[in-house]
Order: sequence, then structure tokens, then C-alpha cells
Amino acid sequence: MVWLIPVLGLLAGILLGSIISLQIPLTMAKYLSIAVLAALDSVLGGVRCIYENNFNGLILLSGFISNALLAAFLAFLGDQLNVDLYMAAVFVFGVRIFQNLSAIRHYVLSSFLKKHNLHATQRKD
Amino acid sequence: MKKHIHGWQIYLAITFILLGIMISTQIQTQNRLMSDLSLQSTSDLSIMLKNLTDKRWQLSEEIEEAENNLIHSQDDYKDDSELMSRIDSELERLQLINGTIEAVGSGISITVQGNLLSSDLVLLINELWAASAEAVTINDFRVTPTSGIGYIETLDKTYLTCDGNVLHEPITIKAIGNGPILEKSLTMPGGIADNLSLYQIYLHMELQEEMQLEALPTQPQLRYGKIPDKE
Repeated sequence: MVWLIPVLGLLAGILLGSIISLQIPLTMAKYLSIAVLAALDSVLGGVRCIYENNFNGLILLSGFISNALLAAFLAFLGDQLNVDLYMAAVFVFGVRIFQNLSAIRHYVLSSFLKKHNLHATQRKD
Repeated sequence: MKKHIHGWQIYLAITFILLGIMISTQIQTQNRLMSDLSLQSTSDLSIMLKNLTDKRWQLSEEIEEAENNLIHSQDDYKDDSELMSRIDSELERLQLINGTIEAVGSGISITVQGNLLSSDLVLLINELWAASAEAVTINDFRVTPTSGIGYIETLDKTYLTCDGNVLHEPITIKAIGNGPILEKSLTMPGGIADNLSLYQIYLHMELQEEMQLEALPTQPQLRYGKIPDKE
């Protein structure tokens, strides 16, 4: 139940985006996609930090926005310089996302197993 | 964990909301992008161009086929009209030959003087047919391919008949065709006119610019003859 609010937030965001229907210039679609990837990495990093007990909301928000903007800017700069920084950003953020997901999975499973073992011990006692 | 992190859910919810908006916006933008030609890759545009070109040719062929069908339909209509015209023409020709309609045209009028036998009359008519006569009457009785020439006898006299109709004298034969040719066919040396003259039978011929030959009073009935089925 602790994750209900963030999940509802995600659903509300998708719904809001559908309602608002922001008209991004088509030439910016490529940069928005890499910004989404960076934002996803930031969010998963925030979740990971929660499990690691070093979560900071301001850092998450600032990182979320700055990473998204920076990723989009780097992709744009790569296009201007004719260097495919877009692919580099996709690769880096892809790796980070999978690392974060792996860590989160590890923490979730550990927490689950820890609780399960604790319950089993209590029953024995 | 909840003790050490204050309000993480709120922060996370905010970021999730922003992430949701971004994802939704990106999906919509991507959908628009997919339908925008100016932003397609060269390879995609090439494929689309090829597909559209193929489609264009296909449609052109369909248009051409449809136009051909239209032309054929119009030709068929014309053919039908021409066919009907030809059928009408052929019908008229056959009616003329069979004597079921009146015949009008130039030709020759022959008045027979003397005692003509039925066989002489048959020879005379055959000679006219041989000279391309198109319609023949004897005393205004139409001669057709099925006509029969004979005679009947009464107590005091013998009469020639055509299809059972009594032919009173003078016998007058009218034939539509090329008048001079018809005349020559009868008057040629050693011809039928010469032969008949030996029996004091004389033919008085007169070319006619315009004649009207009567039609048969009744249509011939065909009850047994049929055209064989075409395979």
C-alpha cells in the first residue's frame, strides 16, 4: 500500500498528459524520448534510494528535471555536431535503468524474504 | 524505513506524475511523427514511395481496364445497333425473296401473246431468275421459291395457274431487276423468246423505271422444316 500513491501519480500523469495533449514540435520528438528515458532513470534511482535509506526528495526532483533536460540537450547537441550522442545516451540510461531495476528487485526480494523468515521464526518461538 | 524517509511518497508521486505526462506526450508525439512524411527516414520514404508507386500503377491499370470495359460496352452497344440494322436488312431481303412484302423497283414488264404452256411459263420465269430478277409476279400473283405453276382445265378451256390462282390472258409477267439484262436474257439469239416465237408466242417487253409488285396474300407456313441446332 505504500506504493499506492506513486503508482496513482503515474496513472494520473498519463491521464493528465492525454487530457492536456501537449503539442511538442515533431522535430523535438527525438529529444523528448531521450528525456523520458533520463526521467525514468531518475525515478528508478529515487526508488532505489528509498530502499538504500538515502532518499532525498529535492535531489530526486532536481535530478529528474536536470537529467531530462540535459539528456535532451545532449541529443540535440549531438545532432548539431553530427555526433550520435543520442545513441550514447540511450545506452547509458538503458544500462542505468537496468542496474536500478536490478537493485530494486534485490531489495524488494530481500525485504520480502526477511519478513517471511521473521514470521517463520516468530511462529517457531 | 518509513521513519527515516519523510514525504518520499509525495516526492515520488510528483516525479511519477511528471513522468506520466512525459510518457503520454511522447506517445502522442510519436503517433504524430509516424504520420508525418517530412520526418520519415530516407529508407522509409523510399519504401513508401515504392508502395505508392506500385499502388498508382495498379490503380492506373484498373482505370485503363475500366476504360476498356467502357469502350467495349459502347462497342457492344454499337455492334448491337449494327447487328439489328443488318438483321433488319436481311429480314427485308428474305421477305422480298419470299414475297411476303411488296417489292418496288425498276425492271421489266412482259406481256405474253399466244397460247403459253405451263412448261413455257416455268422456263420463262426461270430465265428471269437466272438473269438476277429479284421479284417476279405473274398477273400480279407473286412468284416465290415455293410457287407452283400448273394448269387447270375447264369444260371449254385450259387455264394456267400460279399457286392455284388462275392466270387469265393476257399473261403479264413483271420482274424487278436490271431491266436491260433481263431483256437480253430473254431475247438473246437462241433464247426463250426465239423458241417461243416458233410456236407463235410472242413476248412484248417494256422496261419500267418504277414498278410495284404485290406481296403474297398469305404468309407461307413452315411446320416441319427447322434450322439444325448449332453445336
